[in-house]
Amino acid sequence: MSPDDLRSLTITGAGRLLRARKLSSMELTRACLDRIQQLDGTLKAFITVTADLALAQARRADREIAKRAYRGPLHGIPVTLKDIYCTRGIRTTAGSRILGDFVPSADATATARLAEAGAVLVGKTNLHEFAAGVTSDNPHFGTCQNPWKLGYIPGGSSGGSAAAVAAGLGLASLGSDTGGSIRIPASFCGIVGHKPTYGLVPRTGILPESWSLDHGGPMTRTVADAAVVLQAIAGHDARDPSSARVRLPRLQRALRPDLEGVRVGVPSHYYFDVIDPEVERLVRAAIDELRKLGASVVEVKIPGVEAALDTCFVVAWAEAAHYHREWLLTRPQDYGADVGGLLKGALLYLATDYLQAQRVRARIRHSLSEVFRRVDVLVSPATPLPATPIGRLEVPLKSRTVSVLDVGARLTCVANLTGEPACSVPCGFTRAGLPVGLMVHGRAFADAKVLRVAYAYEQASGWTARLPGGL
Amino acid sequence: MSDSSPITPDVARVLAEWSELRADRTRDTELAEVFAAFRRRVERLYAMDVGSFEFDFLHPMSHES
Repeated sequence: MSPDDLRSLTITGAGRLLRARKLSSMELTRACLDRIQQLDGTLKAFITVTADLALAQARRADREIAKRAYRGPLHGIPVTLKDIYCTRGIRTTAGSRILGDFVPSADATATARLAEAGAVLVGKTNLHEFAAGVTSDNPHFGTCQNPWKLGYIPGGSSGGSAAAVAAGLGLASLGSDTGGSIRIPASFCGIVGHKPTYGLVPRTGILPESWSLDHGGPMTRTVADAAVVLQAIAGHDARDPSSARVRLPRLQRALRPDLEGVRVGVPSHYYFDVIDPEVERLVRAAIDELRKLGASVVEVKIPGVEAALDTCFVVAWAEAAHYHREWLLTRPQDYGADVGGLLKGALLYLATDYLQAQRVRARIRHSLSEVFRRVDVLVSPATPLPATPIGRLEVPLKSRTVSVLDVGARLTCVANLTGEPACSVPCGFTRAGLPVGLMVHGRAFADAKVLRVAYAYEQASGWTARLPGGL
Repeated sequence: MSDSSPITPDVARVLAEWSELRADRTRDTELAEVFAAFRRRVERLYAMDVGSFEFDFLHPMSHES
């Protein structure tokens, strides 16, 4: 296999070849490591490449598959982890100088579950420092680039994970999502990113940003691959107090090419109020496609949702400031300018501010639960803008100037506040060649329904087949 | 604190010291802007009517649906 063959390979496709022994995990892993060596000097998607470990795991996978001890669809598949997932014996930096030398003594639960499923770890990916931003312009480990257009951000905070999947430097990655950090980079890099229901994927060993908003989840080229990865990492973990005792259905069986009987809600306000016209056009076209697939589409109102970004911001930064307090007081110089400044600012939040935000959050959750009595899923843009140029904290949008952080997380943050599942699936490209994501948001623990809608759209639209040029 | 009483670098210094952050004059100017932006966000939240919405503090993420 040549490194270029990796570009279009999916987990489900590679899995079939591996199981039939038409491809070995060693071939696949070597091709992946070669491609990383060839491209990562430019993309800066990785913080640590684990070549020796990957080759040892691939060798073991090939031995097991040869003995018909096949573990499942991830057996022998090269994957990456956002460098916020603890890995035993391998440094886990959270993209920070503060944790630059941190070597965990245990794996995160999701790390261990991927290894148990036979996945091959090729490396730990770059991210916005401490997962606290949307650009992945990391002052300590380099500026991560968007594979679709160099000079543009991949989104964040799981920017390295998204860039790695989009560029074929691993067939899947695990990201984390506090206000959109899986879905924003998935949207910007033209891949699939699923934030599961809160409590479905254990957070044990994922370094925290905000305890009540953090979620771990899959980032992949296709929806079917996201289902495979989610199936492997979901499930109760007694060490995580937020872990839910819920049995996940067989997700792949839920994936169907039609949407007969599915009720789709389109928000009548907020979601399309601040938006790039090209993004709106592509998302509206995607909604028409859902209708053609058999879905019934209705407009819905979500009272209070316009406060989502402020609410998420206050809750997330207040919780993050609590986690970081000791380092902020003793090592303030070790933070990058943007994250350090915002964390210091968040030390000033009052307890009453945090409680007001939590009550607004309760109002938004109530509104969403009412909406989900009428519809199965909500659909909207994942982000109101495509990827923006590196180094720009603000960009023009129609007649105003908007903050990249605020507008980036404006729509994704709603599902963090409610804990409900939401997925970004590619829905087209701007004239400049930048990907746009359609967000599918469902009721709690209806991850299978969310993935079903994303899958049906993906199959009908075919956007996944398009690959970044020039890489 | 409202927009009519702006957070100056001197005010930011006092607030930062109250939070036990190290003194730094450059930082005070930057923090003044951050603090002011944060207050505006919080003021918008206080303008929301949440009278009938109680947060479930013992089961913060229990799902109604």
